[in-house]
Amino acid sequence: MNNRQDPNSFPSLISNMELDIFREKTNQLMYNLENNDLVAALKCINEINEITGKNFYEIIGKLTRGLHNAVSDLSISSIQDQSENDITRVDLNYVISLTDDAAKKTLDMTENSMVIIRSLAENNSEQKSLIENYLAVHSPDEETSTLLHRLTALGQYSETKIAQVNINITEIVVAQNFQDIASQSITKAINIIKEVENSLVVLTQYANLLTNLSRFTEQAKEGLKPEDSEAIKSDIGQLNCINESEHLNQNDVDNLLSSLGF
Amino acid sequence: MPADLNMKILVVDDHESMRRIEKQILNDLGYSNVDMADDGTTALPMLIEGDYDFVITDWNMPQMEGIELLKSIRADKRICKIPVLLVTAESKKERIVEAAKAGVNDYVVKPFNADTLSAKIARIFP
Repeated sequence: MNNRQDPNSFPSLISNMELDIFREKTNQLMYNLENNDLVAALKCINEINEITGKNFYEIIGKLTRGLHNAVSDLSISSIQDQSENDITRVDLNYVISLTDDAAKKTLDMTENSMVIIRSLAENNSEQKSLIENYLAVHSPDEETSTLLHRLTALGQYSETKIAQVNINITEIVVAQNFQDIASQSITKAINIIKEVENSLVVLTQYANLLTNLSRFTEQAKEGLKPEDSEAIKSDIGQLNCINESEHLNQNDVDNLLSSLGF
Repeated sequence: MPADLNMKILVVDDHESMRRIEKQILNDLGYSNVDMADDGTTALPMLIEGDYDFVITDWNMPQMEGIELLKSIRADKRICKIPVLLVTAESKKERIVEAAKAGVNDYVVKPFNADTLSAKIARIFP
């Protein structure tokens, strides 16, 4: 089960006591500025930042951890890790495997069916030729002629139905298209979830770092490496990019290609 | 030149089911000379040695993606004239523009039907 944080348990940004300290520090800041005591003024600014920043970063940290737990609830591991009774877990790789197997089985059956259909069509065509050739050479009596015409009619009926089954099988094959799309979409979702999870870990660390920064400004300055900051920017940038691109349908694609001179 | 039903076609897709689907549709359309490859690195030597008339390729594949295969085809004098059709779920605008710049002949968005594929082939081989 997850350990989602109750939103009501988050602290407010500034408590009443901290608000009193905030007012006091603001007054001190004004006093220091009026007396050109910049060192003392900067100290006041840091102390004010500490009051507002500390709780803010704690909230970010709690939110981030809650979100990370929620993402972790979506199991993307193998089916072996999954308890039979744990129906809340979603195994996306297993879904891909199942649908892929189903698609291959369907294609096996359709390919076999197509061979049979072709064979039936060939037999039907041969039967038609035999009748035509017989009628071209012989002058059958009425009973035989009726029989041959009946066979011809049955052959035409079979030809129509064989063509229809052929169309149906093609439609079944084309419908397997969606399996591939579903598989790619699920794979993409797995990758996005992994990226989000990794980014949340970074964000949690970042929030902790900023909490420390508000408490121990000078000490934290030494701890915050430029590459950490760049990594966080990069991860946040990746998250922002996920939904940026617009997906087009075939008509849109054709229009775009047309505008590009195709 | 209208599409020759005997032309040699290479279908490139990492998903076995998709390769089989495309081959079956092509067969159903009357194209019987169809080979398959599971990604760009497998496809490229086949194209260089195989005297193919037409390539149908997916975009997202391991090792070498469809767009890289397209660029490699266009960069190689021996095979640069082979028409290439991208058949992919990637329908983002920037990707289509990238493919157009790389010299793709046409672009089909998955999922597609036999009529769409047939129309695209007819467009490439008018």
